[in-house]
Amino acid sequence: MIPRRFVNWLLLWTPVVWLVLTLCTYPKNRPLIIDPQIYPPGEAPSASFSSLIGGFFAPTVANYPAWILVLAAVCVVALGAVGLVRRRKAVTMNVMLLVMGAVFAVWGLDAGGGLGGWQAGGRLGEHGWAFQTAVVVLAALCIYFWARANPERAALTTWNTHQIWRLYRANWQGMLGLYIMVFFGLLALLAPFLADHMMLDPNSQVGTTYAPPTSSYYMWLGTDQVGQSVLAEFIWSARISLVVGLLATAISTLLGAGIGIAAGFYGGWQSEVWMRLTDAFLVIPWLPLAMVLAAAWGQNFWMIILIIGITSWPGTARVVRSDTLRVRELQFIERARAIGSSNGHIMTKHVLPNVFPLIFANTVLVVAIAILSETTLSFLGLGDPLNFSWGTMLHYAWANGAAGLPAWWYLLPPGIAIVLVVLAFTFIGTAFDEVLDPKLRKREESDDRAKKRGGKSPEVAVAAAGGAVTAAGLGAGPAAGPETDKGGDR
Amino acid sequence: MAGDEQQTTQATPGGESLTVTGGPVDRRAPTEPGGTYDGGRVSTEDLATADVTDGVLYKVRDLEVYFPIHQSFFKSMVATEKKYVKAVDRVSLDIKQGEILAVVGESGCGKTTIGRTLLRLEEATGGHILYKELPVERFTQRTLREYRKKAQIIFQDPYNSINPKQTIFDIVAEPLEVSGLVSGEHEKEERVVKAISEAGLRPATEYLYRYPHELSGGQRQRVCIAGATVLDPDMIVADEPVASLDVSIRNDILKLMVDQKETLGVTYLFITHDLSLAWVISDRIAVMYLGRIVEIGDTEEVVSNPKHPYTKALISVIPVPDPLAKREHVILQGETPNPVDIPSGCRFHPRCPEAIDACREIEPTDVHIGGDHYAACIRLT
Amino acid sequence: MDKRRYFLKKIANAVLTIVLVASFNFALFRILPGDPARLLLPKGKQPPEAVEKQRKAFNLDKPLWQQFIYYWGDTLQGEFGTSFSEKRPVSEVVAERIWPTVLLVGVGTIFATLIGMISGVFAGWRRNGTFDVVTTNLGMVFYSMPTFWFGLLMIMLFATELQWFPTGRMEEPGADLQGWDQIVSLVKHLFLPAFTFAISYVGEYHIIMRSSITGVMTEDFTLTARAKGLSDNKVLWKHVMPNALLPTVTIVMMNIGFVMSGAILSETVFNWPGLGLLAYESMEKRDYPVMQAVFLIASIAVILANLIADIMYYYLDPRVES
Ligand SMILES: Nc1ncnc2c1ncn2[C@@H]1O[C@H](COP(=O)(O)OP(=O)(O)OP(=O)(O)O)[C@@H](O)[C@H]1O
Ligand code: SF4
Ligand SMILES: [Mg+2]
Repeated sequence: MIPRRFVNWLLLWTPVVWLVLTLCTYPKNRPLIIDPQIYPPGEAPSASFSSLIGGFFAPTVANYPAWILVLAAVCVVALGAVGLVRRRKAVTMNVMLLVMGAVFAVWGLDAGGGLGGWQAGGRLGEHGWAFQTAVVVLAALCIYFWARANPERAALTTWNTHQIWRLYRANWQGMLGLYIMVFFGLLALLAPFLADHMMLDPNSQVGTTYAPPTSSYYMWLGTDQVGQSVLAEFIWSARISLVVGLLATAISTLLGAGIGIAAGFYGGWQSEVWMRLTDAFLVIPWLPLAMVLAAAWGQNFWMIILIIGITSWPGTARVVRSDTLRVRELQFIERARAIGSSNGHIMTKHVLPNVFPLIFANTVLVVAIAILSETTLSFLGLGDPLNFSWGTMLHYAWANGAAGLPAWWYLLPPGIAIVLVVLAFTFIGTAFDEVLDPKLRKREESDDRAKKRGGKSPEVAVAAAGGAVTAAGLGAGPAAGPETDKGGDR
Repeated sequence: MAGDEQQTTQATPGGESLTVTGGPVDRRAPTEPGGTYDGGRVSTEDLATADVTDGVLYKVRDLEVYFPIHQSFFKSMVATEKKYVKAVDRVSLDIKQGEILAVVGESGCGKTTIGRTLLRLEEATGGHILYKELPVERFTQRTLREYRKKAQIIFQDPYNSINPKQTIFDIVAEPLEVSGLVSGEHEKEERVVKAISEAGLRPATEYLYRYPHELSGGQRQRVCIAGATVLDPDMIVADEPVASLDVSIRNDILKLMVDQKETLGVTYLFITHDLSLAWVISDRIAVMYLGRIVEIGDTEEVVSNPKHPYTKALISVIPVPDPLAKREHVILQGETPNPVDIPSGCRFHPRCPEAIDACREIEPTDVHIGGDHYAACIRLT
Repeated sequence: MDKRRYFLKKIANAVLTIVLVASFNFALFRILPGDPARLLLPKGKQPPEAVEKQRKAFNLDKPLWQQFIYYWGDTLQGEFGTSFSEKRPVSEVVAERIWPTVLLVGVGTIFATLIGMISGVFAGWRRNGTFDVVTTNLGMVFYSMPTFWFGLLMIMLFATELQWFPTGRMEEPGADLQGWDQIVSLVKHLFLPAFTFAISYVGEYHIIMRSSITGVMTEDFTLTARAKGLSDNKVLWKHVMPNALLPTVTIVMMNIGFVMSGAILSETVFNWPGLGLLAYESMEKRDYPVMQAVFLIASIAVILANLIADIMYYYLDPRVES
């Protein structure tokens, strides 16, 4: 029988995921609060219910590039086909996957401009919202049918997740971090409702230069050097800061975990080569390097993500490598070899699951680093000039002498937001580190001085990220954690 | 084993030449190629068509496994010869199909290394291992993968030898998955359930979706055994499978292995440092000392009539149920020498209570005691 | 491992890494999009003759492997070309910026180490006491804070509002102070940037010190010392401190290598004329020869600091010698 809790989760998370996906591409001009005085005559949008709902059916919703959709179609179809060929138990799920692949394919076709002049980069489809809804529903059905076919595994997954959540909930710092994250996450997702994107247009002043805050909505945080609403900038900046942080972390983690596992798993010259590379990257101070790269490669959204991604992986690689070295020596690896498993199989089925808790906790900590890095680069004027982020705001504030006025309403909000978000990710990462690592959990329990429930140990953050959090947090780049480091040396 | 098979093993009692000594077996390496094997690399077809002809599953001939000692770069430049840990030093023995052969010896004498080399988890530096007359060291990568379905290993420590992140089902199913032997999940599940219940975990469905840490040591070792038998292998190397288990559950596990030998027809290489365990479980015993087999023979024969001084010493310390039975306890002096610098002549001479001067110079060869029983001591000639 | 071999190994490692990083530096400025000869010229009008001349001067007309050799020759002689924003040799530009940075970083590090370690010791000694909870959470906040933002807050508070300190630079423009006055002025100018710099590291040092103190306190010898009835003070200073100092000192040493990044931010915010500000200015003006030099110096600083950390580790760690 499928556990009740599993079904409940599915019912809860499916709409949430749908809403999040849709809000990411929701049209940018459906503010809930309209101040007719600050819009040019006749241009004030309406804040009606139908306008809000209409946004969900707008052509901008889910208008992903055609090639991504086609790629998704291929992957999903392959997954379903393999399942059918291998005669996995969940037949219905595999059929669903094929259907989902078909939906993706049609969606991709539509986005690319139809059969006639199909273009890989096209984002022309007008009914992305319908396709996206279909895909989310199909995905939920897939999960449901998988659980129907494998009730024991569903029960196991439910139980495991519930255990982790139970432990996590007991950690007050982790929960605090989660609340902060939910707050800023909502701020970013709901930006189209909270502030009109029009307000970021240099021509749409809401007040005089550096006007202090007033009670009028868009003036809550005063104005900047050209009289724009700081509140609108602040809200929309949340999007860029978080997205850059998350995407750069994805790159960094993929690189770091991949290289770390490879360096730890393979012995001999291969390990030596990877480790030399990591060491060389570790000593390169990331900020000068990122400055050189950003100055040369240009300053746009994707470049910044790429630069942060490729300058922040060595810390992860180092930590992952040392853990892989530990796992490699465990005997079940030998057993896997003895039954003829390939290296790839051993790495994905045995090494990865055992280093995964570390990678996961580390990833959350790297998000903090990445957000700080983005802020730093943007502050130095290397950010994307077309998009506001908290770092960009601080850059303008600094460059235009906000500190000399002092225009605190312009300086404080972005900085406080950064501190809160970075703290939140650090707390979450530390909490996961404790929750997922049984050894640490035990240490906490046996440490009679830490009597507090779900006691905290911020040093975990330092140790887990290999000192990277700290170093980058202070604009110093990923440094090696000397404890893990030195220990391995002799 | 059938009587006619003994012919091969008795072919050269005492060894035909004095220069090389080894186990009490015919050392004339690759006798007849099995199946389609023509002397080159061993292909998967060779393996598929090979068969046991004379009742002997494995023929080990002059096996040498040396581990180079890592020296600093500068030292290795000036050193005249490279140094090795001679973990296994010219060992010859036969493993008959369907028997339990126990390898007994002190810690560090090379027991584990023999077992691992049989499965090619370790590369031999010399000699041959013939599996169904096919040289294991000449297997191609693909053949090796096929071969690994046929030979399995059970480790000493059931806590470390299974992945804590996998469920029991996944652990036992993994060999099936890797080998691609089954088509479809239903068949896989059937075979996993069968292997688990055969290993004594019943009802199997109770255990399938549990994690290793929820099981006791004995239950985990049963999971390991199920993982080894699920592929219907010919051979299982059991490396001290009960050493880390509670005495009370040892017997159950040993009994399971004997049962499985009979019902499934697997051959066991049972590695242990405890001669009394070997006595309980094995058909034949090989006694090892410092990389060499010093005595080998049928279990009853070796235990009741030990010939080699080392074996005698081992047997004298086995506790006996009858306290009135008078026995002399032989306590060996000194410790096992370093396998890097093996003593000259008989390698046992520094500790041997019966050593004579000649032992220092002459390396003993195998002496045929009778039947399947051989011992390597010059005082027996 | 004997001492000589250990040191030799570490030094060889450092040299190898320097070679790697310098080669990376060579490659970096050649894989950047665009003609390196043009990159090495100021933006804007680039007459073909000038590009040609530049190409000759940097041997960019030679095959890549020869360029590599020339690059090494130049680098070993400290020859990085001419800064095109200042029209002077890069080595000269860089040389006069080193001392301000050393001053700033030195004072900042001493502050950070003292404050961070002392608070860390007390926090770790009375773990989960009020002092610990307050300082450690404060440390976490410092640690999550962008350096430059803190610098801006400092300017806003102490320079603009209270007017205790100047907003930036190393000295008043135009003022020609001598003797005591000069020193007072320097200290006044130094205080905010050094404080900002220090604060950015304090959190980390605090947390590391605290955690190693806690670690050492659960070890057997500490328990034995306590069981013998030694006073708390004695246990702390005689047994716990020496052992807990080790990881902290190592981290401090390794961080000193990474000061460049910290220096860039606090120097930029406070207009402090050091290497960090130079890095920022050269980036703004796309002054590649200077960027190249600063980048190399920053990397070598890290490697040397790591080497020193390793050597200190040898003398401090009782385990290494046995
Ligand atoms: N991979 C290896 N590299 C170097 N030396 C090895 C290696 N494996 C084993 N040895 C050495 O070979 C010798 C024999 O080891 P082996 O593990 O076979 O002994 P053993 O009889 O199984 O001992 P034990 O009862 O302790 O398990 C030992 O001296 C050991 O140190
Ligand atoms: S040969 Fe000599 S030393 Fe060796 S076992 Fe026989 S008596 Fe002992
Ligand atoms: Mg062993």
